[in-house]
Amino acid sequence: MSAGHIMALAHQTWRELLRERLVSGAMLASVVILLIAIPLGGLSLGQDGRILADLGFASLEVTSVLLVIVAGAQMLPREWERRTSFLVLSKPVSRTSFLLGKAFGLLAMGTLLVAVQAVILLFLLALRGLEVWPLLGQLPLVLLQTMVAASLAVGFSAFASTPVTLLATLALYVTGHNLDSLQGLAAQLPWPSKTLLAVIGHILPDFSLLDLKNRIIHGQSLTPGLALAAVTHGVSWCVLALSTGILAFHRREA
Amino acid sequence: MPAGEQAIVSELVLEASGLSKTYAAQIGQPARQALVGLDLVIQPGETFGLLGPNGAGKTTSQKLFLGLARPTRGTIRVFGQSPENPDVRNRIGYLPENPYFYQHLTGEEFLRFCGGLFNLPRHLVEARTDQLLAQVRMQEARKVQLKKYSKGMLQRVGIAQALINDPELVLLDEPMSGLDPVGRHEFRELILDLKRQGKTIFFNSHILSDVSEICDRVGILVEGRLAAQAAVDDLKRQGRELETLFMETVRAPKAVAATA
Amino acid sequence: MKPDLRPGLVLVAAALVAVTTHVRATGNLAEDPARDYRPLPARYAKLLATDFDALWADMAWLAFLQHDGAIMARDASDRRFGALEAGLQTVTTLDPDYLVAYVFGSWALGDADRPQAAQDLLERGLAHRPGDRQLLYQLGFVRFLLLRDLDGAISAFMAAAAPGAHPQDLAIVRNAMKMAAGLAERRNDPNLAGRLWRAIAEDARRRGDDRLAGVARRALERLRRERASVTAPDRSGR
Repeated sequence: MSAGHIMALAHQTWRELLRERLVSGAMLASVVILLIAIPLGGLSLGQDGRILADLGFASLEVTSVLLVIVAGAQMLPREWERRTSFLVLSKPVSRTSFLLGKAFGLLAMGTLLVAVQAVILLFLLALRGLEVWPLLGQLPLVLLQTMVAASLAVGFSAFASTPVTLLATLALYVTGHNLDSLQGLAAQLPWPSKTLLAVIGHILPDFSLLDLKNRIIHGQSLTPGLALAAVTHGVSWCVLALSTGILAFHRREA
Repeated sequence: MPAGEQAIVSELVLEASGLSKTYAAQIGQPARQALVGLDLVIQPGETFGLLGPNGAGKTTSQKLFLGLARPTRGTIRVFGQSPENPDVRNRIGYLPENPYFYQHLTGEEFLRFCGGLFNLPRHLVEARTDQLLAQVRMQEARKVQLKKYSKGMLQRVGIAQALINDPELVLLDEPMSGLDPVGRHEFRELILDLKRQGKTIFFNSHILSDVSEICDRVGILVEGRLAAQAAVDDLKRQGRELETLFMETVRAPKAVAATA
Repeated sequence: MKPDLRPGLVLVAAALVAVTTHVRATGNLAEDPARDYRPLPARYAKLLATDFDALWADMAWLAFLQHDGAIMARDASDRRFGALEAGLQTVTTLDPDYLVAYVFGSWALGDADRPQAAQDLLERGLAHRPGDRQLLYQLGFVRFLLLRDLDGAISAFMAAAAPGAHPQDLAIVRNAMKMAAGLAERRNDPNLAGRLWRAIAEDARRRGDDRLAGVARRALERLRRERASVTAPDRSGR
């Protein structure tokens, strides 16, 4: 593994993604949603600021997560399909460096997406006279969710096709936001379904833990312990997804 | 192994012994034997042409030499080491067949990117980029994105990237395919120039005239087996045409290994 | 040579779009909004929210308002608020802090002649936001105006005016105090009414609110007169 290789590949991936229509399309979609939120707020009996914030943060999260999942799911299969991977791996680049370089390029793109959308959203909220500082706390965790989703997509795409990666990552993202419901469902089922669901509920990534929206809504504050748990959980899942991807990628043949 | 023999082995650029590759069966596709018991030795400074019809196993053999695929049986040593060791690839340049490079990069950005993958110092990458772009006559298009390049331009920038690390072994997969006569002539000159510089060149082709002009030695792959090997000078001395040898070998039922 | 069907296909599609748009616009498909509004039951909405509870609460709130508004716009006397409770339940389950849903919702339920449901809604809000002055203040009105429960209304207004308010809640505290004082008078509790009006008068003097100070002074005067008129016959009669 070489830091130089990883940097070179991450830079190349970042530049490639910047030119993707998918990225500019996602940005545009996000801005359109924000613009829709403004007149929509006018129909809400004085809740316009709240609706702009809720819709804005939801759109920011969904756009960023979906984009990294779609881009991540295509990335490695496309390298094989176009045989650009042959070119890179015929040079003294380890497969670990190759996968990490691609993943870091994608993570950088995810960070840019979150940052740009956050600036637009916070600007609009400030224009409407809302206090934006309390909302800033959501951003690092939205970023963490984006990172976990990107890592899962890259990890899966190391051994699976694009459609399978898309489905698997989206399923993990949606289920990871519904683990409480899953546990509730498990409690109502007979054995062995109950145990099976309970186990599944415990081993999947907990995206709810990385989601501050509901904690703010339900009046909970983000304690340092909770923040640490969220960061540890998110980073651990990134490491797990990427290292599994690396193992699978080492077995893959051209 | 005696010390003397060890020294001889380590001088070899490439050595394949009993090399076989079978691609596992997939849904709707049976298992496929791409290469069967390939024995091959490439000496330093040699130019070797691997001939064969489409699907004979030429590209598979290069993938095995580069560690892009793993043999089902047999061994490969490149500069005395396993090709899966990334360090070995510091000494190799490779041009894939029908290269599809990162299209958003310009010619010079692409060469810089490739240079970066060899961890070469920046000034050296810059110097080699300038030199190679001049050598393949691509200076004018150096700031043009690869997606705007013609097939011939892509091949030229492809060979430039294969040489960015000043390799000792150059692997070229069908370098002439899709080139017009002028492009093929230029490419032939380029390879001959590399040969004069003492590089070891291994290339796959099914264009016999190019091979006979450039190569010291040829091998003919048929259905994954190395059916014939010959030194080009020997063929000339014997008054045999490469084309005749090729057709005889390809048409022979279950080609038997023959050395001219 | 095969004929090119694409232009024809485009024309047919455009015609279909035009026809459906016309049918919609002429109202042939117009639905009864009261029948059309079927909010997703709260537990399913919560299940499907996928951590976007706040956003879905907003959407449920907008749908609720649209439904209510559509009925009012069609016929001001129409009061078929069939799905009111379900809609409010969905909004407040998704976001139990959706304050405006409790406050406005309780008025809407009152309009629909369901005062008990209005009180229940506010009490559910208070269970989630104990001591919320805005909810308590609203609860006071619901009990007073809709349920005719003077005692309950006074206790709600008193709770809304409890000491220790945040500066931004002081307006509610003053109004709640005035309401509690007025209702205490109605209930013939001159001691409580007097205590409250004195507190209001003192607060108004301190803030330089002459108008309110005047209102409180007149109320205290009224109480004194009433007390005097109640005690006078006793003295003369014995």
